[in-house]
Order: sequence, then structure tokens, then C-alpha cells
Amino acid sequence: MYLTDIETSHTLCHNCALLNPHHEEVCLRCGSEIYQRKPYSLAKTWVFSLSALFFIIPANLLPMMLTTKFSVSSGSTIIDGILYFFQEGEYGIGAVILIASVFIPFFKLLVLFYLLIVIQLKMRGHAKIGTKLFHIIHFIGKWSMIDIFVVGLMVAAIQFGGLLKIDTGPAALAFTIAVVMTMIATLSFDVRLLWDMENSEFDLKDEKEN
Amino acid sequence: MKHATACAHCGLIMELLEEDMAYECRCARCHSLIYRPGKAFGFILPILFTTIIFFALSLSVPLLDIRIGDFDSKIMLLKTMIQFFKDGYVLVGIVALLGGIVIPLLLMGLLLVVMLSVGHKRHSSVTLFCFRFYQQLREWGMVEVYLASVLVTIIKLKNISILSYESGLIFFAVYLISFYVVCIWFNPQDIWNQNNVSD
Repeated sequence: MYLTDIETSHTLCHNCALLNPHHEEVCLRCGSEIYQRKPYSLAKTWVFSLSALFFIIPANLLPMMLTTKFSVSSGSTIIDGILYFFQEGEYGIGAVILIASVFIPFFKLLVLFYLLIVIQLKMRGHAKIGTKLFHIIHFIGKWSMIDIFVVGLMVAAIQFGGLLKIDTGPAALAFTIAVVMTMIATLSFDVRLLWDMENSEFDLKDEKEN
Repeated sequence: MKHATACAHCGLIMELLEEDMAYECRCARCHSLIYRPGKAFGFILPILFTTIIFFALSLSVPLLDIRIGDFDSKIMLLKTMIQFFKDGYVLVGIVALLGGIVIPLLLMGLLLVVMLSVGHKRHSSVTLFCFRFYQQLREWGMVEVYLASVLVTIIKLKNISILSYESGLIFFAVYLISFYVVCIWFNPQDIWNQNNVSD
């Protein structure tokens, strides 16, 4: 039989892993602020996920880099950058950028909305797969920043006056905000909420059997 | 001796035996990682010092030298972050500077304080503050992403310029590998698990 922290009136410290009595607000060992479930977890995750969704659209449509060649300016979006690598035959790097800059942000948002909907609609039986997906998005989240760092390196490297010059495009700002928002959304989400619903399912079954 | 804990991902209460703590433990219900044994702090500290030295070196010398015609440019770690500020993208610059330089530097400093103070068998309020701060910050370090972006940039630039690799790139790679080793070997729970340390 599974017993959880709520059922045994304990609160886990996420920093030092000590199991504290539920009435404690600060960890008895390391002094961290503790809570059985992250406060306002769902509300915060909704807000940050929706904000990320709002910024991810201009991040993909606006130019990421502005190239000035012989005083003629042209912009390139994230997709243009990926196409450049594929045209040059650099399929590996093209795939890395495609995954990191396009797939990962959208996948993260998709997973976050899935997890939120599962909890909001009290859909049971999703805890195991939900936890696995949460671990994945938690791990891959920051890799979307790769494109921002590439822009920074390119801009710093190519400053040759009127001959050739690269500047940061407006998509960099939107993209950075979107990535940071998805990272905060992931950190705000308390995956234990998925398992709490499974626990309540067991409780209901037990009550019916009795 | 038993240690009671709970899974941080499903809330399941678990009891870890002292002898089990030499191995990786996973949750019986959701299979998330509960406990991972770390290396002794005396073993990690020299690597941490190496990391700090190589970080300082990689900041002070260029990573790459780029030549297009008669024009020449050098890429330095800090210069790429500052470029965002010059272009007017302050927020992007702050995030890049924090993730690429400030947070990794803070993480190394905090780890140093925590490990040195544990060696002295004291858990002062400063140690505990550093420990909590380290735990909060460690999600936000992006050095490995930065190294990957350097590799992407090299491939991007090699078609339009003559590239020469500077010593900074080697220093940066060594710094990243040693930092990664430190993060893997350091188990925050060992601050309390080590037998010779009193609370």
C-alpha cells in the first residue's frame, strides 16, 4: 500500500530531502521554506505557459539576425537559419537547431498544457506518463537558448563596418522571453498534483469496497 | 539505521537503509530518482579549484579568431554577452550574461563555501544560506548550452571566413567538463550524510 506525505502529515524539504512534520513552515535541518505542494502551482503554470505561447509566435516570425552586406540589410528568421544549414549540407547541425529552437519550445508548451488539462479536468491514469514527460521537459528546457547564444556569438564576431555586419534581430527578445517563461512554468508546476488525483482514486475505490 | 524521506515527484513515503545509500535509489511508484550517492568532498574540491581556474582563463583570452579579407575579429566569452547590450537588447543580454557567466560563477563560489565549511564540521547560517542558494540557482546555469552554441557558430562561420581556434576554446572546454564532473559528483544531501559531520 502506498502512503504519501499528505496522508502521513509530513512535508518534504526539496533542498535537503528531510521529511518535516506538516505544521513546520521552515525545514528543521536546512532552514528552507517548505510546503506540501507548491503554492498556486496551477495558476502560475497557466500564466507562464500562456505568456510563453504569446511570445513564441513572433519569435518564429520575426528576424533573429539582421545582416548588412555592402550597406544592404536583410533579416533571417529561425527557420531561415535552419534552411541555411540544410542547403550547405550540414544536416546534423541543422537538425540540432531545428530540434532546440523549434521542436523543444513547442513540445514543452504542449506537455505543459497537457499536464494542466489533465489536472484541471481531473483525468485519472495519466500520472505515470505525465511524470515521465515532465522529467523530459525539465531536462531539455534550457537547450532552446542555443539559438540566442549563437546570435550573440555571430553578432560579436561579424562587425566589419560597411562590408559585413550582423546585428541582433527583434525575434531574439521574443524568443528569450518565451524560453524563460517555459522554464519558469516548468519550475512552477508541481508534478505531485498528478499523483494526488491517483491517490484520491484509490480512496474512492476503498470506500466503495467497504 | 533507516532514513525516512518522500519522493519529490509523487509524494510517496520511503525508508532508505543506511547500506542502500551507497547506491542510486528510485521511487517504487513513479521511478523518479530519490537518492544518488556522491563522491567525498575532499575528492571534489581539487576539481572545483581547477574549474574556477579554467573559467577565469576562458574569460580572459579569445575563443576564436575570424578573418574575412583584411578584416580580423576575435570572439571572447564576455564580448558576446555585452554585444546584446550594445544592440539595445538589454533583457536578452541580462539572461545570456546570467546563464552563461554570472550563475555558473555563483554556483562555483557557493559550492566552494559549502564544501569548505563542511570540512570544518560546522553548519553555520552562511553555509546553510549558500546551500539553499545553490539549490535554487542550479537550474539556471547554461554553460553547456553555450559550448554547444560555440560549436554551431564555428560551423556557421567556417564557410564565410578563415577561422583559427584560440587557447580560450580549450580552456572553456576543460572548464565545462570539470564543472560537469563537479555537479555530478556533488550530492547536496552528503552535507548531512557524511558520518563525520555534526548538524
